[in-house]
Amino acid sequence: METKKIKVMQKILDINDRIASELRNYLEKQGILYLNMMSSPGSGKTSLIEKTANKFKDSIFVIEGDIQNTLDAERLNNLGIGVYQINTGPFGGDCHLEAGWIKTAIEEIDLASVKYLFVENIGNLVCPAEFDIGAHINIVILSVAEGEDKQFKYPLAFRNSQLCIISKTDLLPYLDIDLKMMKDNIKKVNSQIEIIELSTKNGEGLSYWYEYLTQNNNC
Amino acid sequence: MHEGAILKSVFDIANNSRINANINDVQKVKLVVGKLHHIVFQVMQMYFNIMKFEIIGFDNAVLEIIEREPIIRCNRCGNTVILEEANFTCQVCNSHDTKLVQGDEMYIESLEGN
Repeated sequence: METKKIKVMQKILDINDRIASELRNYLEKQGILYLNMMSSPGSGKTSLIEKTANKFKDSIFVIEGDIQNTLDAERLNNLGIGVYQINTGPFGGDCHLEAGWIKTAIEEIDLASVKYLFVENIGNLVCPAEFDIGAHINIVILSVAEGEDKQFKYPLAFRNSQLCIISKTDLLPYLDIDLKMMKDNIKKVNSQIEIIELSTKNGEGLSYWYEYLTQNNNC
Repeated sequence: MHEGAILKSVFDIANNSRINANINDVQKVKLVVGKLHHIVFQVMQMYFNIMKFEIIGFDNAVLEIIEREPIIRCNRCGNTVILEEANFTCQVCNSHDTKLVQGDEMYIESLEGN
């Protein structure tokens, strides 16, 4: 029997990307700024959301992505903000969130008073960068303790983000880190990316973050 | 560890194409993947050889992956270069104004079978 060869030429994540695009448009129409926070574990994603919640308390909702447990969600819930937990354990322990899961979550959330929807993605710099979840702004968070070279090791997370937050700057006096080199290296991977340096510990730089959120909430 | 999720999408698309093309026995699935994606090809092959038996028509299929090097073109001086590391600055004129022209693609190119 003659072998047939057919051209497919379809993006592998086409379905995910289509759902992501729908989400982006839907939330824009609702006037909600949708932010996807990506980082390695322990960079300070939850701490930053906690601080942000103090400032924008009534207008924030957080979708928490974790492989297991609800520890971060409980921390945020204690602040009185809305939280929806996605555990990927039942899906095989996936190391990232996909657009379809966010869509399912959003269908169950009351977004009436929400102006900022945060997704705290699962902590790693590899897998979350592969999957568009439809956010208006992808944020990659890098703590100063992680060194000057992470953007070269995980370029996709930096290429696919519009904002890089350099966190834990209060640790700078204790580290042999060259902050200028760190920022220059980030720009070598993505020259368009904006950078905000901050510390949730001493509050340094948080005003720039709040200003960034306010300025970008015009969708 | 996202290779399993990516392969699930590969099989969804490939199976639709198989049905539409009236192919009963798929011999080969060919992917094109840019090097910027964090994909471990050996893991893809391993998952493929497990998952293929769960889908009708794929028992005899092999997976071929064509890897694409990341290439940037400088918008200032026009230099085109294959990236050895993830530094997207032009190596000739040091401009940040460069465009990635290859290396972030990830698609199913073709399906073979009878």
